[in-house]
Amino acid sequence: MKNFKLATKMLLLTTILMSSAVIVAFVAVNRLSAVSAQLRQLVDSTIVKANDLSELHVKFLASVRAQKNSVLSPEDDTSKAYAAISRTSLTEARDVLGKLKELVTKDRIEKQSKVIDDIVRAFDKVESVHNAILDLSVQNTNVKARRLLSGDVQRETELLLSRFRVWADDATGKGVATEAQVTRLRALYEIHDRLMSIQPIVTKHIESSSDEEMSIQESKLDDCLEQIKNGLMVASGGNIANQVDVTTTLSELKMTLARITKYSRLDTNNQSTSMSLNESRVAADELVKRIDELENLLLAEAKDGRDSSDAAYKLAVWWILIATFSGILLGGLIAYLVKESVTRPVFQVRNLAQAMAGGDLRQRIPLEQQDEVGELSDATNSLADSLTRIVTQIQKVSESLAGSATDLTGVSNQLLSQSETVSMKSASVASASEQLSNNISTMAAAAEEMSVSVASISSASEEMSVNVGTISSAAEQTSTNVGIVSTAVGEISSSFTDVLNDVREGSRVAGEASRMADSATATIQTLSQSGTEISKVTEAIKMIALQTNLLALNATIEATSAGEAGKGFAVVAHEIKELAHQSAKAAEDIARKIEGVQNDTRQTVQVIQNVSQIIKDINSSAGRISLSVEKQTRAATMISHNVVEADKGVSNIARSIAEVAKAAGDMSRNVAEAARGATDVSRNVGEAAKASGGISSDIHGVSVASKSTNQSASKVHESAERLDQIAKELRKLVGRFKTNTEDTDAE
Amino acid sequence: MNEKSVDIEGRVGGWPDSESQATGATNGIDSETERLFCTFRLDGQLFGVDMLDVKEVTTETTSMHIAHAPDEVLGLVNIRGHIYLALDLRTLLGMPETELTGDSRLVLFKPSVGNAFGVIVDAISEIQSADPDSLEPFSPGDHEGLVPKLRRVDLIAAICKLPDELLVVLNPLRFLTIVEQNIATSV
Repeated sequence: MKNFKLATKMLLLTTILMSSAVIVAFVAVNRLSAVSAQLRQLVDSTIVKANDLSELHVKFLASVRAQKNSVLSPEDDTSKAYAAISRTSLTEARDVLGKLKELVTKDRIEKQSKVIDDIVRAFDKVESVHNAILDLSVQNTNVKARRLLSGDVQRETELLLSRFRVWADDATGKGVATEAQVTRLRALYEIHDRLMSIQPIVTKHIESSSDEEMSIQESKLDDCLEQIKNGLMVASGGNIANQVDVTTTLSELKMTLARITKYSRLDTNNQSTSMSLNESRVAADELVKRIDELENLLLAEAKDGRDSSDAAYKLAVWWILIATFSGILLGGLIAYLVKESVTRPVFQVRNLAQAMAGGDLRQRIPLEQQDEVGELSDATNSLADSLTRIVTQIQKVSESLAGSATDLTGVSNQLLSQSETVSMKSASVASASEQLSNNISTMAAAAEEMSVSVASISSASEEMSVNVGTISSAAEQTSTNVGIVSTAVGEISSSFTDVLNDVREGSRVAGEASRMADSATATIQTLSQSGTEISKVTEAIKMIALQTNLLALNATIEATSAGEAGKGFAVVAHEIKELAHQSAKAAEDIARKIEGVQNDTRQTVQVIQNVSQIIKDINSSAGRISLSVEKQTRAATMISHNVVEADKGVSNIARSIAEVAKAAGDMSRNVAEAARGATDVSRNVGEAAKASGGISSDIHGVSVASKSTNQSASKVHESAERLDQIAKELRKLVGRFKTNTEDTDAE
Repeated sequence: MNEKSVDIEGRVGGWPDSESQATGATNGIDSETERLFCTFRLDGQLFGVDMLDVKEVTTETTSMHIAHAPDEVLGLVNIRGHIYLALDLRTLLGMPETELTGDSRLVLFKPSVGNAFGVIVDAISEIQSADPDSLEPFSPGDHEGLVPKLRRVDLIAAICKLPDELLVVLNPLRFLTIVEQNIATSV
């Protein structure tokens, strides 16, 4: 897990998430298909069954309605048509019932099968009753009887009546009212009466449905017919011939009546009606009850189906929830593991980076991971390594920088102290010139006073003389002071010149040294070349020694060949050989030494080059010093110049005062002249005062210049110190980085 | 001494006068106190030949190769107008071949040893004198007189024990003989 690539981890994570999603989807589909199966069953069986059942119900009711219509319809044709409709409906209902039964048996629900069996039984019963009713209703006996009554009976009755009317006419037509004729008419009347009563009786017979009523009506009818038969004899008047057709007609009537009664006896209409009202109803009620029962069962089944589909739905929801939760749990666990394997090393890297930012370069990440994070940590480690190296180098550099800064501080300190000396000296000059100025001011005041005194007092020449003496002494003092200033300034100037000279000398010496170093390098190069040449020579010597050796060898061989005679020569040859050997060895020695010298030479050249570089550095710093010192020298020269001018002015004053003294000598003789001279003095002193003011201001300028020099020296010093500070700071900064090398140093 | 003369007589019958000269010289020196050997180095090992057989040692080693010559023959060398046959002693002694260096020398032999020839050696060494006591005749010993053919080992005449190493004394009389014999057998 640790060493997988990030992409692999992500892939793993994604795979788990996807597989959990797939599992959830699978579970959902599975459960939903179960729910759908439940619903389908509900729709397929229960609803179809309910539909079939209601269709059965409807068909049955339609059949019953057609049956009622058939029973009620008086017409034969319509009744038959209704009966046909009813039969068809019933057949259809039978078909539907068969279908329903098939469905129920297919479903194998015991209760329903039982009820459907009941329904089938009830239906069979209803069908049989129904068929009977229909058979009866089709016959329509009452109607036939009535038709016979209104047809045949009427006709035959009419026929008989017409005969009887003939007979009545016959009886009356003779014109003689005999007893026989009266009897005959009475009989005719009775027969007529009886004949007329037949019809109502028959009608009553047809209408009646009970047997007693029918038999009463039949006996009445028989009575009537008997009376008519009996009355015929009388009525016919004895005419047998007339009786023949009457009797035939009467027998016909009798037969017709018999048929009517037979029909009436059958009484199908009433029977069918009563059957339809009783048995059929009972059977139909039974059937409807069964159907209702089945309907209730189907309702229960539908309810069950709904409940089970509800349960399946709930189960599906639970399954989906469980699968989702387990997927989320598993995915979360894996994600946490992956996150751990990614973030922990990343945090370590961050900590390392923070430690590095805080200056601690000793930490490393001990991570043995092969993925990108491992590479990152490795790269960070190597970064820390290289930083450590760099910091170590910087430390070294800062050390050397600090050394240089310390050196520079020393130099600047020296410069500062020198410039302070200059400043001090210029300050003393300034104070001296200040004193001078004061003195001159005093002198001016005195001169003013003198002038006033000379103008007013002519007798006080003695006093004036004293005054002039005071002035003279003051002037002398001034002169002395200026002389001191001049000397001091001269000292400064000369010290600056000395410094400058020293610096120039230093620069010159450095240049000389550089040149010397160059020439030394050149000389040493020459030396090296000479060494190479010497080694060539030694090579030659070695060669010669070799040749000599060989020569000596051959000489020895020759001498040996010569035997006794060559013995002495052999000794010489041996000596030569030895010599050659020694010279070869010496040449070898020289070559070795020359090699050493050449090595030394190379090192020397290196050293001289280093020295030359250092001298160049010194030279450039001397140039800088020279520049600043020259500036200061210029300032000092300016001071000197001003002081000289002041000296000149003071000399002038002294001269003038001398003149004043001379004039004072003359004053006793000529006050006016003295007065003029005093005015001159006053004027001259004013000038002197002006000049001395100028000196003072110049000297002040010198002082300011020297201060500024001092300031710039201080600035240099400050800069040097700041550099030193910076160097220290750098060292401190670098010191903040804790590296392992430092550690080992500390240890 | 007796052994050696017998040895030479038994194996090298070819050059009666060179043999008599050589033996004569040997006898002459032998009868005196010591013998002198011109020594040289081959493959770091010290070899030597009797100095009386040596004519000259030169630094001239540039030779002209002879076509179809056997491996032992390096070529012809011109020494002051005279042409000498230069043999490679390394090949003769069965040592691996090397390039010629600045130390390589050509040792020329007297006409008594063979007609105008010399051998190339790696470096020339001292003239070494040796007591007869320190000389030990070298004899393979097994089939003496049975095989008429010379072998490489027959080039060695004696072993001389020097204070710090052994000196192998070669018999230059057999150098050319063995080369010729090899040519004869190979053809």
